Amino acid sequence: MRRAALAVVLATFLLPARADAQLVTTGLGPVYDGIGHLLTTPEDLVPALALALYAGLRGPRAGRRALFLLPPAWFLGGLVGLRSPMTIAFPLAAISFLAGADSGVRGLIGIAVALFVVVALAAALVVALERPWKRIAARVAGSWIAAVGLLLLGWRLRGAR
Amino acid sequence: MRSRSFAQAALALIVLSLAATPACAHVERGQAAGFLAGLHHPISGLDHVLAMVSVGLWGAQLGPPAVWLLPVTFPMVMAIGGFIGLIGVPLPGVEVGIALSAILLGFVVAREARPPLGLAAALVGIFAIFHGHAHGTELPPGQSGLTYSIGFVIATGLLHVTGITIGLVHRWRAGRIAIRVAGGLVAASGLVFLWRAVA
Amino acid sequence: MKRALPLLVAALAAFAPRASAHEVRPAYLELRQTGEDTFDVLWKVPASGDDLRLGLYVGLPDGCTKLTEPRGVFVAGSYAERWRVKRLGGLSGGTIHIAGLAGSQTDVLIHIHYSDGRSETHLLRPDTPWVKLSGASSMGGRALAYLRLGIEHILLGVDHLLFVLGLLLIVGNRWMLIKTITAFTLAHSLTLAIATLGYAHAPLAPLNAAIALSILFLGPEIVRVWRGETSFTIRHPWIVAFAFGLLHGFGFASGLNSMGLPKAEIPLALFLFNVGVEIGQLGFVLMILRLERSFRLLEIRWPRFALALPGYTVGVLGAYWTIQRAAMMLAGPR
Repeated sequence: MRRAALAVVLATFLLPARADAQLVTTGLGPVYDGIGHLLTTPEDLVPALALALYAGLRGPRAGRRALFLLPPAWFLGGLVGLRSPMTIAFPLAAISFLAGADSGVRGLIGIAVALFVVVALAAALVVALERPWKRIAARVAGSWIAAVGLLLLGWRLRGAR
Repeated sequence: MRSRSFAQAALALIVLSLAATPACAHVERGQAAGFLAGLHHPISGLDHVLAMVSVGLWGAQLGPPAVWLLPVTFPMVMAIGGFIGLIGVPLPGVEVGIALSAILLGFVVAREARPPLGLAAALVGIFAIFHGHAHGTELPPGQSGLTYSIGFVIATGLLHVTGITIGLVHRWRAGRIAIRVAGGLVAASGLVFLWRAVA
Repeated sequence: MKRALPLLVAALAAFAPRASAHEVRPAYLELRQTGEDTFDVLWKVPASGDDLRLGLYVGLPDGCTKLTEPRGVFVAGSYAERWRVKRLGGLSGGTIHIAGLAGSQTDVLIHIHYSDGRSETHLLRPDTPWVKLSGASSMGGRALAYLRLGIEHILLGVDHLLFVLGLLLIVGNRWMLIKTITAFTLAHSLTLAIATLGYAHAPLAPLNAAIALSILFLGPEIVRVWRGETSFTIRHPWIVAFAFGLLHGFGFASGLNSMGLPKAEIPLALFLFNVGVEIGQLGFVLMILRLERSFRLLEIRWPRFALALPGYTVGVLGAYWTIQRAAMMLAGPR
């Protein structure tokens, strides 16, 4: 069930983003633009949170892996996207943002840093949960995220028509 | 205690997803509006509210693991219902289904029925499809579907949490009776909804 | 605290050079109504030396005609221009545009004083280099502008953040941390107020060099903490934080261009700017502490070099800035 839910969430966010992906300008330069982008773009933030919750539930080891794999992977994906605007799926919102904001690698650094912080905080939060009911709360949150993902999939399919 | 966990999780979600919004508020107006609309929507119809609170009440009556399984099942299956609605598959008799859900859920709460867990989840799930189908497709124009969905799911979950919190009185005898009475009232109002849907 | 945050610091270091190049002093435009349709214009742009100024130019609302030609002078790190304009029907409804702002990294604070006592304040930033004048900005709008200026100033002031990080690496326990951060806050609020109210003034070039020196100073102290040695700083970090905090306060004051602010507005501006700085600083401290806790919960075993990274970053960047800024200071105004 959990695995299926995760698959649904990931699949949803793999779909091409709509063309109206917003552009965040904080006025503080590209690094902060990148940070702001991640924190204000639910398409990117929510799956990252879901992954962090999941990793945290699996224990510190899984949490560490997610922490050190996800941001670099995101960054690499973004780099590829910068070179060629092909629709590699996962960091797609990031790419569309970068294409518009013209802030390039620095924006990606901002995104990766923010991602690192978000994943570290969220995963550690879950790892620290000892009481069973708190762990269940994290799982319930996961199920809600899956529900959101499913609805988003519906919006995307409807928008495509 | 248990209900606090849900509230905390929900709060954490809200806070996390909104933490940075003020900094860039001028860009994100559409998103925030979508979120608020989604948050508001499930609360706006009494039939929905009663059905979802009943799910929480029933969960509290049944105790673990139903107390958290039902509130997980409902939003998930409701999302499936919303999905079906979004891709354009019609579902006949949505209003009747919603009214029926209020009647039946109120009835099981009033009876304090204890079917096998799977059956309970299936009952909740079937009705959740109707609720999702009715709601998921009603996005105000010009707002973000994603943030609408987030607000929508959170509001639904919080309604369950409300039901569970009310259900905490189940540990006392008077409380048990009060819950059953409340279930009866939900069932009665469900009859009214059904009357309106058919007539 | 010792085993903290190598990656974060690496990231900080990655954008430090750019951030230090950021012009943290905002430009300032003042329009003061002198007659029914006439306004005195004061336009101040950050400058270095006697002949270099930022390439920002004011575009006043359509229909403005110059009554006098602009006359400019270089004074104390800025270039100030004054002239008089006339616009039939006043300024409201017009649009002010700052040419060159979009490609820059600075802000422009705009104050308009009407003869009836009303005033209007706007903060323009590179993403929206224009503003439509409404007649008068609300108290809340002005307050928000100052608050925002303060938060921005600390978030872009990587040297200040690095100093705070150095303090975090030195302090041993929670009580010490609270004392140290409070001391730093008190000290820089004090000098920020003194400088903004005009009682004292610190020349920019030596000040920047001294701030860099304060960061460099923390580097060796961090190494002492690793080695388990002790020193005056390690025993009483709050005293050091207070002393250097006085310096940093003067630095913050450069972010609040007080010379152009109307007298009545200075206390409000000062207070909210300071609050903004503290919000940014506290946010930074809390984030570092939460991250450090997260790393412990995730049971991360950092390699040796990663553990040493924050300390070395503080030391190396401190040294680099000290040399760079000292050289700039000695080269003097050309």
